Amino acid sequence: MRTSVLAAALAVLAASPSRAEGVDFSSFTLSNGMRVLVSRDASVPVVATAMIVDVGGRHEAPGRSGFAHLFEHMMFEGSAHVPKGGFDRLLESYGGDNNASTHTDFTFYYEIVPSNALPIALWLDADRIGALSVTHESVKNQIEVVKEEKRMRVDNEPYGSALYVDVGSFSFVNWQNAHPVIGSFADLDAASLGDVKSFFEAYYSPDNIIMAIVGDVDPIEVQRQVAMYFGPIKSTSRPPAPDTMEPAPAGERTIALRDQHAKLPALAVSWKGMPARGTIAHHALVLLGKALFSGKSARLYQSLVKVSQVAVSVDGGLGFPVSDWDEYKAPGLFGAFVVHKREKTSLQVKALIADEIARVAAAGLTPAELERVKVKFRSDWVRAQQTRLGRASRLLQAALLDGDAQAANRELDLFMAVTNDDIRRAAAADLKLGAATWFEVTAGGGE
Amino acid sequence: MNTLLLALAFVTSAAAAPTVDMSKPPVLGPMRSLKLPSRSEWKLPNGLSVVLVTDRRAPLVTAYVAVQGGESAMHAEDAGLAEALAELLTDGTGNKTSKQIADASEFFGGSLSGEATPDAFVVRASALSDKAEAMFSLLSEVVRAPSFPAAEVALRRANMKEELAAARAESDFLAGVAFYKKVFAGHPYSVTAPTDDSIERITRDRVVAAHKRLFTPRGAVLLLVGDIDPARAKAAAHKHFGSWKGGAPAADAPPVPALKRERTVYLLDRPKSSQVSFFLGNIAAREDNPAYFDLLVLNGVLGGSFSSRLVRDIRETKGYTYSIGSRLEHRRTGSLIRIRTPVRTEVAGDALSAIFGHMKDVRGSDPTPEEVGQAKAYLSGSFARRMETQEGLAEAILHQKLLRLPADFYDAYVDRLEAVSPASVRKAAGVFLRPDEMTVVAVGDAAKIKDTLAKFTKKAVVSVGVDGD
Repeated sequence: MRTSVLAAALAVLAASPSRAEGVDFSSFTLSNGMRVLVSRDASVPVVATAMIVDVGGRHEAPGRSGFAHLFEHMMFEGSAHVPKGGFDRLLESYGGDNNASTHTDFTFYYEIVPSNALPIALWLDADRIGALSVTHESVKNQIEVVKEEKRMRVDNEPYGSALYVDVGSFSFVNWQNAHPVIGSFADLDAASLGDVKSFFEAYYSPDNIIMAIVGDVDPIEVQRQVAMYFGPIKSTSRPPAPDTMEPAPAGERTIALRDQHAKLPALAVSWKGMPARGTIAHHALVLLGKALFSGKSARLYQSLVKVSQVAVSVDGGLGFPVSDWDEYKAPGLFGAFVVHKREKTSLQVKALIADEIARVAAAGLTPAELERVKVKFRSDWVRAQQTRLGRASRLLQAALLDGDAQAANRELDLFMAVTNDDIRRAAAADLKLGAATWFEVTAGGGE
Repeated sequence: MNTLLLALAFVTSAAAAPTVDMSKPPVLGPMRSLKLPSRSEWKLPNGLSVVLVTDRRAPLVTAYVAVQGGESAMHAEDAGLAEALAELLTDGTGNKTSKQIADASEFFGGSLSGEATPDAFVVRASALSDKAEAMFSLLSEVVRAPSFPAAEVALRRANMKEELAAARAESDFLAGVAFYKKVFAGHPYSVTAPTDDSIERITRDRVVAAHKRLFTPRGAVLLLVGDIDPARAKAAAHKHFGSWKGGAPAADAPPVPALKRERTVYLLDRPKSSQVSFFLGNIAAREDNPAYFDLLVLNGVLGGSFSSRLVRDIRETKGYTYSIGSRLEHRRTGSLIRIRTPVRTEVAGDALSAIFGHMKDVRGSDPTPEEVGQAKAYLSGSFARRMETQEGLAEAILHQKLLRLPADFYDAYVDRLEAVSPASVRKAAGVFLRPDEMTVVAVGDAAKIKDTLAKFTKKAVVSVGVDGD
């Protein structure tokens, strides 16, 4: 044990400050391969510490759907020196906050604490990464909790199955992309203690984790503490990254769905094969999504809800409904979801959506629209970076999904540089009507 | 060369690297004190106070306008009028429709909304700092020249009826309405929700008249927080609010008398309810009371956090409820301590006994140093987290201005918390926590709980209706 600590401290590289106009941060890597980003902001005595683990729904093996998310739950069930429930209780006793989330391409954990309590957060995280308690009882118990979550958020929620299961599974062909993060009851029920343990050993290895610590900290001291707590944890090997290759769309399709809980019919549409992160087309499609769906001034809100009055709500954009735009990773979707009035047909709604997409593919946006969308995007971007957690999350997503934390500091300028031509071209190339999958959701919920 | 460096590093590390003892949580140092950015304040000739806090952490500007009055400035029969007025401010002006106001606020990259609080109307706006001028212009327009279109007033009235009907399905809502009605008996603060009749009285004429009467720069505050320097702030305040005219501001609500009265139990019958919602409390002390921080820690020990006595015992050990807590609430002329919990009907009596038992304990003996330390850590930590964003800072300063707290209230916050001791907590409990004088409200199945509740009062249990009367 002691030897490992020393070896870890030894391998800590000198912090290399990398200044940028966005978030200033330095980084180092422990000898076990865990990467750490540190950003100092002493304006209030608060620190956010977050971990992004390179495992999400897309890494799951067939027959093991829902494991990444089940595992996220297990991370709060106690570890060698922390009893069940102790994690939340201890953090709260210092005025801290914490949570976690599972996505298609990663799992995210965070704690926000007064800066003097950072050692507590690191100790808690190191104990669960290094020595998680996984018992038969806790696995069975959390399978039930996750099933209840699925019932609540997916199965018994109007449009839940369409949005969180069906759009993804019918749009994609490759199982890695097509299966839902929440998993299936059958796969969850089949999870054994051994399965959960081997998932943990495979993916929760320090070299598969990036940590960000943002706030009122001394970077040198942080490095010492992280090395002390995480250095002794050994890295293990894991399966190769999943093959997420997706064949080209096979032509326009329409899928009929019935929803027992919905009271109004709905029409969804998806396009797959969206461009890779960081490309001009990617930035253009994010902004186009905002122009079409975001807020009361958006094109499809105006067209469907206000002018033609066929719909009651619209939602959509790049990544939708599988991921948010900022966690998007190719191959992804560009999707829309429209709840419409009972006396209107899905054909009427479809025609209006198709019209609007065709118009954008031909002429792009108006200059005023593009300006409004960019201003709103910039302000949302800045607002999200106000908190330490917002900055930690942005750095970690860039580090994992773009392969470079610095990408977080270059990104906003790239969005602001998008031209109307970029948007027009992306719409024409990636949102072809002949490649769309439509979903007609019939309301089975009655009055 | 590398080898040598590594070897040296090894020696240094060997000396410096402590053995990590994972078996217990690390011992922490004290929390660093929190110094808020300095502020400047000035008054315009029309009486508007301007408060500026330049905070350049993000390129955003937050602007609030708070005018005196709010819910307590309305007649009791006009309950809900203040809330309707506040929401309608952003639903139309002489120049803009509701949608145009929404579009314009998106164009400055921000938000705009009105709220009625017990003592004031607050209109909140925020924008990217390079678009702040557009925000000031719209903020001024909705505060000074709202048009209250008749169709929007009618829509608001219709929606309020729906919202009230939906809220009444929640026993916690009903318990809250009755609790404030009784604990602030006869005082304007006693009215916290509209009634079916009072919603009917919300007409365009009444909204316009209330706006004309209450929206005046005299006594009002313009709070500016963010990426804006004093010269620009001064110019904006002058340009957008300098020509604002108005009469005398609303008077403060009368002081809330700290009545000494016998404990009274009120019961709202909700047949077949599987739970009983309890609200209980008494008038306590303002934040500028010298013993306030003792009271704050007392609340932390009793029921103010997950580690508090009420949560650990009533929720964790006894399992009577999923949710229980105590809190301090402040209005300008009266504050209170309040415990709230929904419990299973079968254990309603046992739960109430246990709650009163904890009050007796905390009044009878000093809490442990560990409990006091934990409550202080929780309170300091939560306080620091609230100051992370411009909105958090702006809300804190607004509260200080509206409640007329000392200018250094937040700068001294963490130090004053630190000064609290177990003995001072017990003393505060004796003075401010008054179990024998409490207002107790229960909403539940009267047939099942009335006899049980009778054991908690020397008088008869008093029945109340959905409006708390």
